[in-house]
Amino acid sequence: MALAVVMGYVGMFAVGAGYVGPLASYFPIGSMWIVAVGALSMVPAVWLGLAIGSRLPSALTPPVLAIAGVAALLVAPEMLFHASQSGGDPPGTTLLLPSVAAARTGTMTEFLTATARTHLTQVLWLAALATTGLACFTAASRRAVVAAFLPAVLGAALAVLLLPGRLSAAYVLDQGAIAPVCTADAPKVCVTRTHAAALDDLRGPARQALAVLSAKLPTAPTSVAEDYGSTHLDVQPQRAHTVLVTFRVTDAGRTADPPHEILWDLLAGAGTRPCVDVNQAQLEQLARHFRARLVAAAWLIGQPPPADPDGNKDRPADHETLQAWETLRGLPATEQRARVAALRRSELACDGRDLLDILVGQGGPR
Amino acid sequence: MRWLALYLRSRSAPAAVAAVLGTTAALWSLRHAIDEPQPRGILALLAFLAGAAAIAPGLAGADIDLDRTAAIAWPPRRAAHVIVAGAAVIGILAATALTGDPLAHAGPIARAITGMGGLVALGAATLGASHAWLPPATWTLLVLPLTPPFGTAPTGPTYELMLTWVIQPAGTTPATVTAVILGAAGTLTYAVFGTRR
Repeated sequence: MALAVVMGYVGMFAVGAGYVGPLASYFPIGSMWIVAVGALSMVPAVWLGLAIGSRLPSALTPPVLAIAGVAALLVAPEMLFHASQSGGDPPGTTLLLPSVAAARTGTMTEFLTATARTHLTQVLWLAALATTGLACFTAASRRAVVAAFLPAVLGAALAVLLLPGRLSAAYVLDQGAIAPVCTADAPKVCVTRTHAAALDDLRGPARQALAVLSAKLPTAPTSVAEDYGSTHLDVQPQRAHTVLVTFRVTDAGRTADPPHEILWDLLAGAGTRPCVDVNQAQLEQLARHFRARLVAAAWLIGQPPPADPDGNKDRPADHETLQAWETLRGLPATEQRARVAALRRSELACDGRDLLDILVGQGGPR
Repeated sequence: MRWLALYLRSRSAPAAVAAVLGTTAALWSLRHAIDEPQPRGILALLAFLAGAAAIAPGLAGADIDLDRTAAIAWPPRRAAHVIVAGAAVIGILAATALTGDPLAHAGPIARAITGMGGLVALGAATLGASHAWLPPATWTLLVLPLTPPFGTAPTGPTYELMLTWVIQPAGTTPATVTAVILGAAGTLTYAVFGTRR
């Protein structure tokens, strides 16, 4: 029976792979470990179910067990998601739960893969659970039932010792996935190998952004690259000569947003990545930061700032943003240029200054 | 009265009532501890499913052949069994309103149990009482991943609303119609044919 369920799991994977395969640009053989561990997880599930069913032989056991299982699978990730939204990183023991919690918590990105240690710990834990299930199912005496719990307890203890303290430490960047795929001709535009299909879509707006930056600012960047950093693994250093950009992709691997929206994203903060700790900063501080970045992009593009850098680009921006833009445009031309350049320097240096103050306040360029 | 008590005992009604009370209490307290609407909606749905599934084992006695030797009119009794059992489950689920944080209003609970109870009765007639919980569970769990945020207005063509009736908000006519059809079809089929041997 366990074999049948494992075959079912593998069958589901094969069907999914059939859909994804033709669109994929990167397939590391190591990712099959993740599938293998998932398939293995079916064995303890079946054997534990057998054990519980044999100990509680009632017609009510199967439905109650099924509903309890679904409730646990659906609710546990939500609770973890809740914990991580308040800035936390879920504990590593999350990996003992049979749900892809990490994917739901935002910790996981397509550029990460599990470490060998994570795989081994999960295999150990699943094997311990399977042993307990089988031993409990075949146990003939009360004492044997109690003894059957021993492997699970031991496995849990070992797994807790082996797992990292924080969930993010269970994953590493997949060097193959983040390997750059670039345009052959200058100016260079690069995406990760994972998103190789999006290069054609990014090239246009990326070169437009570089042209705008070099026309309007003194020291302009010369290339564009995809940013693969994630909330808990912000590892890609930002350099002055490269504009880093994050973009959403469709199921087919193309960019999800139209070119002019990608242009706004590229030029936000005059081509810089926001240097602000979203979890630590005050809401008002965050609003000022992103307002200033948006005004800088609007100045570079020469259009009034849209409402929301991530939302509807056709609605007008809020009053404060428009006011800041008007103030900036009211300054002498050289002053405008100096202030946007100063904003770019400050964001690149990550010096924590108030960007809106640099742009339109007393701060000015220094 | 003594016959009724014996009948209820032979269909293990006490265990079923205990199961409904237990699952409802457990899922209610989980739901009570969570703020987000999505898992709250799913947990309420699972409580309905557990309530409907608890009806299933009681749809057959210990010995089906022995039951049928009784020279009484089974069809109205079978229909009454399904209807009373459904009403009891609706009552228990709706009683969560006494806590101040009800699983749902009485209307959606009645719709869910009517439809799911009908599926359980259909399942008993086709698969047997011990597997009768599978049709409503399969339907609900297949639809769950498609769940839009709970509370959003229903969209899509009528047949889609009917197929996803379990997750549609209260007052969605195609969903109510589906539940009533399932309830009527299930009760009738079970009343006429009884449990599968």
